[in-house]
Amino acid sequence: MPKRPRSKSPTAPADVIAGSSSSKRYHGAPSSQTSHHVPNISSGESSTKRSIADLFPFQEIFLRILSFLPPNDLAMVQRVNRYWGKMSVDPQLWKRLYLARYPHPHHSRLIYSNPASSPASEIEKEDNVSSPRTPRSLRPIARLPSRAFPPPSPKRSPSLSHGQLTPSSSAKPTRTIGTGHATPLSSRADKGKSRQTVDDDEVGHGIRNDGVDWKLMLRLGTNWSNGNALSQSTIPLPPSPSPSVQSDSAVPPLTLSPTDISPSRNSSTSEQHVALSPSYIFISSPLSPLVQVHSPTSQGQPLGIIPPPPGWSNPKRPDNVTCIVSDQSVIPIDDGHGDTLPARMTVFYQSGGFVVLTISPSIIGKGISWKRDFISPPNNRPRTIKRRATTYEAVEGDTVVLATLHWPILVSCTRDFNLSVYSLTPSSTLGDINQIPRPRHLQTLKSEVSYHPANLTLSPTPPSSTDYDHLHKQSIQEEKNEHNHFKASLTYCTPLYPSSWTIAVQELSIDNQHEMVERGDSFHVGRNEDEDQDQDEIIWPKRIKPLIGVRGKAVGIGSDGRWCILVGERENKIQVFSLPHHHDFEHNLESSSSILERKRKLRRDIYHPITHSQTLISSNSSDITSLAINSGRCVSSNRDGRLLVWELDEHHDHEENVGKTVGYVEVKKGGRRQSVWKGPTGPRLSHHLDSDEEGEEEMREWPHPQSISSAARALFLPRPPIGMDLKHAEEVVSQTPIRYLTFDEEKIVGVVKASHGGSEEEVMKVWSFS
Amino acid sequence: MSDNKQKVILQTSDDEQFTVEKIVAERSAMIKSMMEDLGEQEGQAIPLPNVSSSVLTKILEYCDHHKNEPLPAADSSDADDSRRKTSEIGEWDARWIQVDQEMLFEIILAANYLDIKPLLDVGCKTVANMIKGKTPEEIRKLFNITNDFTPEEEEQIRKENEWAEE
Repeated sequence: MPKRPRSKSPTAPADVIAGSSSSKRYHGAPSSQTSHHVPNISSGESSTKRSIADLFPFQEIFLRILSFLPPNDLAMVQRVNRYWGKMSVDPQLWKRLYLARYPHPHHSRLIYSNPASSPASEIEKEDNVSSPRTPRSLRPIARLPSRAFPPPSPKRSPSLSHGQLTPSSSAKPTRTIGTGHATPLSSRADKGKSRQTVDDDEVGHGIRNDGVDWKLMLRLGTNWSNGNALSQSTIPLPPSPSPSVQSDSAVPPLTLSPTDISPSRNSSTSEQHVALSPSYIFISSPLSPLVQVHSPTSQGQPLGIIPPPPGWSNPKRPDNVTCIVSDQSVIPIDDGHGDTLPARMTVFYQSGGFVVLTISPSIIGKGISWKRDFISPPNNRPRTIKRRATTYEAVEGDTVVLATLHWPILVSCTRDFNLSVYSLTPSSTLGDINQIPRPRHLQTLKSEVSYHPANLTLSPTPPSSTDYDHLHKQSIQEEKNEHNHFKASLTYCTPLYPSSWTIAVQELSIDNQHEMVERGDSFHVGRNEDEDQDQDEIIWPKRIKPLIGVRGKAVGIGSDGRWCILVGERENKIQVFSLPHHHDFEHNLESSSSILERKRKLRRDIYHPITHSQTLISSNSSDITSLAINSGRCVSSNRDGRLLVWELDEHHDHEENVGKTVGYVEVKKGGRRQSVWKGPTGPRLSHHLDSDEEGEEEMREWPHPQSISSAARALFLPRPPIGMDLKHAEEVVSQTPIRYLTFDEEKIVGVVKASHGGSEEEVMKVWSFS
Repeated sequence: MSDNKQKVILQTSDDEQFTVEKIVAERSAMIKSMMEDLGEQEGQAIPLPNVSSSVLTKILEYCDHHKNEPLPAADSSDADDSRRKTSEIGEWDARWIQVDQEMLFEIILAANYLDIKPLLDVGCKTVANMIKGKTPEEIRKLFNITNDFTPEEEEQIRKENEWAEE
């Protein structure tokens, strides 16, 4: 046994343990020392018969007992009394439960609790908080791609390395843990009525609390897993200034591609007009220079509207927003403004200018206040509207359509695939304080081979070592926003002869410290090199075909750094591609014994093939209109307005990487679902096929039983909330597809274009999971 | 040290002495490390001031039955993980733990004190199983706990936890 965490005897002070020379004291006078250690336990209330209830004041033991309880029992325990309630929300209990269900959490799914609303004080808060479901300050940390979070090995498992009953060295020295007897909180006599005597700090004592709200995460995860949105709200967006304009006409086809197969922007998937932050939803329109700020919880009126900087836009020459993006990094905790976290975002305008803003809740009452942190002035001016023009002119110039922001790096991509990298680190050389600084332009790279739709992601480069310490350090760095190395990846469409499209990925590595941008790896969908066999032969279960794409136009594309997804026009299938793992290669290289094998692996490493991993088929024939992917989770919507959630994450205990349908999203009050879906990812996949499945022919073409069965699942319509104009809402739901989708851990936001009473209007729908 | 036949003398709070095999006594991480510190000192009793002889008899029964199992590595999260996975209690253990509440209380405290993790878990699991599947009211009744929540507060917590219900 290594150095034991607890001292061995209540009779042995620390110095005795350390030095064996004084060990004689062990049996020197045990009886005399016993007296002042035992009272609590054995002789304190020797008159009364002790029962199990006397265990509960011993927090360590009580927590250990509770650690054997599943979530539903802990929910019951919370209602027993205040003391039990406090113990049952111990973060460690929920952490274990969360990690048991989701063993490989994504960074993006970690939600930090505000220290002010730590579980210990939760009950006190509840006393005067009226709305139980109002999420207390959520702090998602940086959205790292899933592969940046290596699956924890048991050794590293954060859940138990700081075990409950093992007093760590960080335990308070004054505590009597070392005696081997847990310390009762309060004597039995005043237990029950002694709520005030229960020291808040004592709950979860001696346990390193990482500040993550594991219980909330488990709740969100459960709700996601059940496809169980707690609420759905529909927020009408103001009508476009010129309703006659079709958004597709605003975009000329790409010059490089033949018109018949060019993926034009009317697919609307390269469009970034919705940006999410923990506290706000930002939404813009390609036909307006304004950005609206909505609260995820309240319906109706926006919290505020952000105009372009003075002089950029006027009614005759509107400088419309082409792209908005919110910051993925964590805003340091001391910037917190009560319950609502500030957000950072960048707005790109038609003129080529862009603005970086910080949005925080207004000090006076409701609403928001915003501050322009950086301004990049326009480089071209939008054309003035002709007086008699009935429609707006097509967008002039090469506007930014995609962007990604992870403080302090901003990457933008224009329609012609000019990728620009900016640094937002304040420059020390500029003296003028009154002037809003400009972002420093690091570099612009041009891609000639990329086509829309495309997708940009940006993440801090994960540490090379997968050591937990590094990981921990990394998260500390994230807290302080101290990243210097970033990796941006552009996922784009690329033509596949003769008339199909597939995906490719180009990475950029960005060094903010040295202000360097380098072209990184590029990934292409590759043939497996040992497949010299007949092309038509189906290789299952590993892969359907080595090279795969979609026919016709690609309408949807997405990437989370680990997976890439692609959807073709009028298709109900999502093609999922797996990006190569870097550490996979390293690992394989180490483990492969023969030189030949090693060489082959090396070669493969150079080629960087993206491999097709699975095909997700949504069950009915209705085609997919929009999709979004975020840290291993994919949300798609069909033309009939239904939402489907898929979990793409590989299950490390399974050989195959099979995405699982979590199910459709529906709204259930209180988070309960009528039919219980056992297990974390819904019911087990069966190989049963629905007989009325329409795409049976296609199934033969894509014989992937797992995905077929996962698709053979009945879908339900999301229900409008009570009190809404039901007829109208249903009309919106059933007849208009969701045009644009995005989501984070708490919510899904979709934009629906509705033809309503002859005029077109846009509606934003928010499904909330928290 | 490696001689399994070696005997250890344990002295309980009521001054009763137990002579047990070392391998049995070593189930207790606390006794084990104590013996390591004490070194080879034949005939020296190890004082256990917090354990009564009746409880120690019971616990030694457990230790004797499990003496040939590998000791859980100290501070090992692996062991911790695997023990969590099986929330069930072994057959022998389940029969052995069928004691009255006072004895169960004493066993858990002693297991905690003696640092016998598997035994502590058996005890805690037994208590957890008593709680499992019960409503708050039933739990209160079982352990004679006063409810200090107002009905509104309780209802609010119930609402908040609806997602966890099955």
